[in-house]
Parts: sequence; C-alpha cells; structure tokens
Amino acid sequence: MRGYLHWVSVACLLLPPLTMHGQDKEVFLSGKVLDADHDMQPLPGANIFWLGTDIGVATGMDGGFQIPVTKQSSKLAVSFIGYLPDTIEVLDAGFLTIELTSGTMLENVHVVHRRKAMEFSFLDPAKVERINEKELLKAACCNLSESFETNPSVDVAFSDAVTGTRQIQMLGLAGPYTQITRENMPYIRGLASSYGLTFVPGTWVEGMQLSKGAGSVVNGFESIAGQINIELRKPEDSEKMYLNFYGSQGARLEANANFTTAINDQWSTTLLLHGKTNQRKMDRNSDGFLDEPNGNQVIALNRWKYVGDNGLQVQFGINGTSIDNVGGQTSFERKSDALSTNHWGMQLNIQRLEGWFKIGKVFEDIPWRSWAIQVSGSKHQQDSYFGLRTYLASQNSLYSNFLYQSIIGNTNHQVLMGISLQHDDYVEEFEEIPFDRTETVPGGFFEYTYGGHDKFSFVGGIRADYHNHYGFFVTPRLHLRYAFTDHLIWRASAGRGQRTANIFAENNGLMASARAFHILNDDSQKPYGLDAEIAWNAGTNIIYTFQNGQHPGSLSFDLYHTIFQNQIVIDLDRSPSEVLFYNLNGKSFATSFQAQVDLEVVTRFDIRLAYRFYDVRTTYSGDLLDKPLISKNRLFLNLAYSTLRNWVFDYTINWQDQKRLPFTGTNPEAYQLAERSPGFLVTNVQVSKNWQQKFEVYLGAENLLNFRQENPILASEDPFGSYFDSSLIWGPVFGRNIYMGVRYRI
Amino acid sequence: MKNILFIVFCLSFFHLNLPGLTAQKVDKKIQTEEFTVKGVCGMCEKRIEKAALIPGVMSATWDQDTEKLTVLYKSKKVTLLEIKTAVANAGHDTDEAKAPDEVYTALPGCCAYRDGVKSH
Repeated sequence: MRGYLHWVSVACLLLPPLTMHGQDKEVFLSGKVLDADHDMQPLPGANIFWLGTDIGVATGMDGGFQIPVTKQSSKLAVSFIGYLPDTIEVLDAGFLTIELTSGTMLENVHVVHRRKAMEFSFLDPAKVERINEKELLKAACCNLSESFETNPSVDVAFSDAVTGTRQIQMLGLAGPYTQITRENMPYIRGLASSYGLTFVPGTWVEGMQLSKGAGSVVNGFESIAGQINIELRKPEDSEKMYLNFYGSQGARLEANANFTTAINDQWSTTLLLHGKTNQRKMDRNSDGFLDEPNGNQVIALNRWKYVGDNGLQVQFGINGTSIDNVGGQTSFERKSDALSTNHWGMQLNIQRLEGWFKIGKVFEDIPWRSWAIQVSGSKHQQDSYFGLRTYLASQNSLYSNFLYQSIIGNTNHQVLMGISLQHDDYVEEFEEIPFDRTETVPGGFFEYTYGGHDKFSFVGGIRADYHNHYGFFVTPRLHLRYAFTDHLIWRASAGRGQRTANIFAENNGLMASARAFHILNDDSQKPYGLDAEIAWNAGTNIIYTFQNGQHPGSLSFDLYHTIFQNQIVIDLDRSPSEVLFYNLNGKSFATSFQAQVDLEVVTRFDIRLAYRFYDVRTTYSGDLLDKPLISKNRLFLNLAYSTLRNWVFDYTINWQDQKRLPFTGTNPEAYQLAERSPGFLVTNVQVSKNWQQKFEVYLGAENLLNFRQENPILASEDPFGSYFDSSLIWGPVFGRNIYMGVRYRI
Repeated sequence: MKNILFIVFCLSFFHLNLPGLTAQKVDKKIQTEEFTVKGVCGMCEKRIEKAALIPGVMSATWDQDTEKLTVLYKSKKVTLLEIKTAVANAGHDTDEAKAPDEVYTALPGCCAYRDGVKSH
C-alpha cells in the first residue's frame, strides 16, 4: 500500500509540465495495466499516452496509472517491451483495466556472442589473459606445458635431449621464475618447479589465468616473471563424466577420466585420473639415444566441496603423482646397466603426494566481507640418476594462510589482508654430497583495491616476510589501470619478487652432460651458501578492442622489464666442461616486448598474429652476455576455423630467430658448436569433429614440417667421455609427430 | 625477539579483524534495501551505481533486467531518500525521486529510457 501511494506521487510528477499550463482544470483518467500472460499480474513500467500527443505516463509498481484527460485525443495507446501494443478508445472517465499480451509479433532477439578461446579481462587492474578450455583443446595433448604451444606469451622448450622435460618461459625467464598456483594456493614450486606443468594433465583444467609481471602479494612473494593460476575441474559445475584417450606416432598412449557427482545439496566431489605410458624405443635421429624417455605416469586427484546454507564453504582434496621414466641410450637396460658404464642411462622417478583444505565464509547480509583459511601440505620425492651421476631429493612442505576481505567506506575501496606461513624441508643428495636445508617464512600482507566506476583503478599491495636464512624483507607491488574509452585500456605494474633458487632441481637437464657442477659459495648456512634471488619487475601494456562490422578484434602491446638485484647465475660459458652457480656480480636484466593482433576475419574464423622481442642479458664472469638458448625474435600465427557442423581446424606457425649457444671453443673441433643456432619454423595442425557436444575425435600433427635440431646431443657416441652434453637444446628434438584422440563427455 | 613480534602481530591482527568478535555490533546498523531505478544499458548501470555510492552507502548493485538497485547502507549516516535523490540527480528516475529534466536530457542517447529506448 505504501508503495502504491509513493507511486501516485511519482506519477503526478511525471506529468509533462506543458499539459499543466494548457488546461485550467485537471481531470485524470485512472486505470491499471495487467499482464494477460501471467495470471493478470500488474505490469509496472508500461507506457501510456494519448495517441497523437506528447501526453504520457508510465504505470507504477502495481500496474496503476493516472493520466490527465485531454481534448486533443480520445485514443489511449498502451505499450510495454515484449508485449503487443494496444490502443483503446476512451469514452468515459471511469477506471480502466487494460490487459496486455505478448503476441507472435514479439521478435525473439538472440544475442549471439561466441566465447573467445582467450580473453583479456577489462576491469581487472592487472592484465590477465584468461585461457579457457577452448584454448586448451587447441593442443590435443596432454599436460599443461604442451598446451602453451598455442600461446604467444609463453615459450615451451625442452630442457635437454634425454629427460623429455618441457619447460615454460615467460618474459624470457625460465619456468621457475613464474609462480604456478592452483586456485590461488601455491602449487608447483621447489623441487617440482623444473618439471612444472608436466604434473598437470590438460583435461583436468577448466581454465587458467596468466598474468605477466608483478602479481598479487596475496599469493606470496615468489613470482618474478608472472603468475599462472590453474583452475581445476570443480565439483559444482563439471561434467558428470569426461573421458579422453590419446595415442601418438611415438607410441605414447594417454588416458584421462574425470568424474563429478553431487552427493546432495551441500556436498559434491570430483575425481580426476590420468595415466600415460610410452614403451616403444624411438630413435629417429639415429644418435643411439631415445628421443623421449620410456616410462609410465599415473596422476590422480580427488576433491570435495561443501556449501553450507549460511555462506560457509569447505573444500579439500588430495593429489597423488607417480612418474617413472627411463631414458638414455637405446641399448640401456635399467636392471643390468644402472649406474654402470655399460650403457649411458637415465632414470627419473618422482613420487608426490599433496593435500589441501580450505574453509571460507561469505556473509550473506554483508556480501563484501569474507574470510578464509587455507592449508596445504605436500611430500615430494625424486630418485634419479644421469649416467653415473645420482641425484636424490625430497621436499616436505606446509603452507597456510588466513585471509580477510572487506571494504573501507564503500565497495569502491576493497581491502584484503592476511597472514601466511610457508615451511619447506629439503633433503638433497647430489653425487653423494648432502645438501639439506629448511626454510620457514612467516609473513603478513595487505592489499588495497580501488575500483569502481571511474576510468582509473588501482591495486596496491605490500607484504612483509621473515625468512629464516635471508631475514626480513618487504615486497611491494602495484597495478594501475586507466580506461581512455571502453575500447582503449592502459595498464602498468611494478613489483618485487624473491625466491630461493633450487640449483639442482631446476637444472636436472644439465646433469645429463659431462659438465662438472661447481657452486661458488660462501660458508654460510644459507641454501647452497648462496643468496636469495631478488628481482624488480615493471611493465606496461595497452589493449585496444574494435569491431569490424560484426567481427570483434583486439590489438595489444606489452612491454616488461625485469632487473635482478641478485640472481643465481648458471654459467655455461666459462668452460664447456663445467657449469658454475654463483651470486650475480654485475647486471642482469630481461626486457620483453610483445605485439599481438586478434581478429575474427569472417564469422568463426579467427586469426592471432603475435611478434615478440626479448633482450635477456646476464653478467657471466664479468661479461654481459645474451642469455644462451633464448631467441631475440619470435613470430607466432594461429588460424582457427570452425564450421557450423562442428568441425574445428587449427593451424599454428611459430618462428624463432637464432639463439646464442654456450661457449664450446675449447672442445676438439668435432665437438664445437657455432656461436648461434639457426632460426627455425615449427607448425602444428589439428582437425577435430564434434558430435552433439558429447563425442569428439581429433587428429593432428606437431612439427608438421619435420624440423629437427641436428645432433642434439654433443659427443653422443662417447657418453662417458668429457665432451658429452645433451643440454644444448635450441630446437625440436622430436620430428613430426602425428596423433589422434577421442573425447567423450556427458 | 623477532618471533615474539610476529606473534604479537598475528594476535593483534586476529583481534582486529575476526568477524563475530567486534564486527557484529557494527553490522546491525547496515541496512539492505531494494528499489526500482529506471535505466536501459551498461552505461546506465555504471552511472546509477556510482551515483548511489554517497557517503554512508557501502554497496550498490543495479540489475538491468529487473531495474532494481540493491543498496547496503548505514542508516545512521544516510537515509534511503537521500540515496534515491542522489541517483535521480544523476539522471535516473527512482520510485520516489524523479531525475531533473535538464540532467535527463543531457544523458547519452542510448540511455534515454524515458523516450522509448529499450533495454539493450
């Protein structure tokens, strides 16, 4: 009733002033507009006016209206969006009931917006590339490091010619400089960091957020080059079942199975399974070494989610990984030849177990306020040898944080704060020399976000941590965003990162060489006797989106610069028979520029063209040199076409310029390499066909042009000699690889 | 010593921020109301939400489909009518306050909800 009275007053206000002046005495016609299609409910907001005049009103919450009577017209027109308009001849001033119906005239407007495989967030003050499942499907296989082959921001390269490890690179910096989180909890770090995304099967992933440069202080202090946050399949919204089988020419077989069930309204669970086997010995370049190691890999994950009535959420899960790979010479047999000079062989056995628990609460009546407690623990064990060299390592980790989120004044000013504790116990043994260490880092953080409806938004974060070896340190990070228009957005970021270099775990590839490992350290108790790596990163980017007819497009430019205050230099240049690890003495920086165009040329045909420039230099024994095995220039082209009949075609071309090769000048001439590697081109192609969004078959070829690095292993005929080196990899080791697979989901 | 400082830091943090301990009393003053605000597009949404965030209003969310604005505010600091007036003064009619004509006519063409522009 109160609402009605309010409305009457508003209806009076709504009267056009002209009529007031035009008439001496106001006579009002009252009535009500009802929805004939919905049980005669009142229709608020319907328009009513005298035909041929500008005298009109709108109905109130109860569908009621009052309109001044005029001599100019007796025909009352009534209209409402989605309903057939009506015109009524008004003969007397009695109460009028008008019924409107939505008729066949109503046009169904379908808003069709194809979701892009990769989207940039526009509101986030940090530039975040959201990589969804569609993008992940462009590379059929298999783990996440391979998925980045269709992404120009991330490089994927083999770390060596025997372990089969693919490492990612961002901003010209190696994989471990990028922080990898799972749903914003630390995920792949420490010993696992070199194998990185190999631990994450592609079909398990719902989406990823990739951000370059300084990240959020909430996730820790370790990110230097950027962050990749992985969203795994979630119990609340995943398919009931998702199966995937894959087989390749290289006799690599994989199976993935995901299952999701809602137990009741509150509880749901997801089970993710992955198995991989590769048993056939392949040596396509006839150097006597397997192109890829043989072995088995099983990864399983089970997660649970509870959603309470009062905004309480609980999630927990467990993830187990078992990898057993054998590589090296084709003649190598693990049982008889392990750690002998009969044949050169490599074993990589990784067992990993991890569990996590999250509890959080959102307040229903105060939606901006929430708190959460997150705990995760992991146990990682690696048992490996490379020829005669052994490397045994284990890491036990515990991470916990408490987060509290609220606002200052109003929702334009958000604050997020909390405390965290990271604890790692490392036990390593390299060539029978023990390297044990414990790292404990408690810390607190505070992040303020200004963002609302202005063109400008900003995130400022600061954290303070205390490291048991490196002491107290402060990590500031800043993100700015300015929207010149809805289509032109500028962003900038800056921040600090700090991490402990795991010199052995991150350089497993170098163990597959005759290089002697030397650590130029002091006698301190610090990890390996070396300092922490500290870097400052600043970056800026501009993104412009446009509409070419119906076809969307975007243009973006990124520029990032990282300066190392200290770095653990991996020096391959002093001598081809050594690798040295030491604290940076001099300059070290990485500059990265990227230009990218994304364009829908015609409907369902997308082009992505990107150019990237890297200038990555480090001071090696007093000389500022290009970082080896990194190409300055890279061109990337991806063409994607899909038909209405669910055929999808994908074609990717990747061109990499020459790379500097480490110094080999003191080797005998046969084992000397050129100063620089040649540039090369790799193309990937994939075709897939989908039936009713349930069943999908795909066929593809990686490295279609069959480009291979000649002699990837130096002195492969003498693996126990002093010139053997399989770590000087600048191009593809494996030639063309044809694969096929099926996906089934319900 | 550093450890002790850290513990003190943690304790003070919990004390200050754990909801339920101190926050409960404050929250009683936060009121949630929903009312109709006329508008048709994303630009309207931005304008409406921005206008509603006057001092005392903590959150404002407008739904284009229902034309409802949900506000959470401190009733001691601001009244509902003041919020509605603030929104109306930005050019959008509410159930209690009508936008001044000169402000309404200055809105971009796509936001002309009074002149038959449909929700888009």
